[in-house]
Amino acid sequence: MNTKKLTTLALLTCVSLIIFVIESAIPPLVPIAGIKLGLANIITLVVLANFTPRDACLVTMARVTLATIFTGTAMSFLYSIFGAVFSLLLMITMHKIFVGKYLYLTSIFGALAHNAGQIIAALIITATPAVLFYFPVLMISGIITGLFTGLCAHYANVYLVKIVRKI
Amino acid sequence: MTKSAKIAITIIFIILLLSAGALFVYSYMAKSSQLTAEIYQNGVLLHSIDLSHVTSAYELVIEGESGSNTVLVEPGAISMLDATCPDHICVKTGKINSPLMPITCLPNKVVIQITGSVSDEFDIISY
Repeated sequence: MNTKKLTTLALLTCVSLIIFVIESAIPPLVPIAGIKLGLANIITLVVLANFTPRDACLVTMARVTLATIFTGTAMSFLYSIFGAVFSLLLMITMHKIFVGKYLYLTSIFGALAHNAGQIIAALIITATPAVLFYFPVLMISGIITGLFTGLCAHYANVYLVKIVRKI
Repeated sequence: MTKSAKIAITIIFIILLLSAGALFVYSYMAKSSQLTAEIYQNGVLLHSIDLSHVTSAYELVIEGESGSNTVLVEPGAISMLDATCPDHICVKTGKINSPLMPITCLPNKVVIQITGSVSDEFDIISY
């Protein structure tokens, strides 16, 4: 990895981290646990669209780790990692299937996988099958927020691709 | 639009419809006259309360290793009154009276779930 690419990825990680921290400071719109806009995923999508899947994993994992150090607990790290891993795996697969187009569809699947991962993490950690009742609500909110984030990433990429491709 | 995109959109719509359907089932179960609230901690059932037979409101304190939760039991509804967790999402959830949504306090590992007596075969709905 050359220095320019390293610096660009580091910058994007920073932006993702800032978005995450600011978003966590906004009081929740809906008091249901786990519903959030997930705006930091915009950066993950931009990296996925412009660099290799491995770079997307690097940026996302770095952001999750740093975000937990800044704003989270060891518990929230577990939930975040579960969500991030599920989300990354599905997004990388869908991005390949869509051959780089339809970023907003990739984003929806990413959001769904993220929510599913967090429910599974809650299932394992609290050992209560009752958390599965959360599935319908989180699936619906995942589709909505995934679409919104995906569209943001799509239109941001129109401008970012010019800057980022200069590596 | 490519074929894979069409398949993806179809899958998304199916998930959307199934989720909406599940929510309708939940709200139907809420209209059943017998509501039982179950309080779990760490997966262990601590209390099973028949909400339709509660005459006056009372409070329950649940102690855990990392803190405590205060539960308010009323005729027909249950809610989290106070908790020692940092987020208080459990308190902000408010009252629940249907299986639509449980109250969870993840730091203290407490889950309050309402089960309806109408359809016992719907213990878990998963996709």
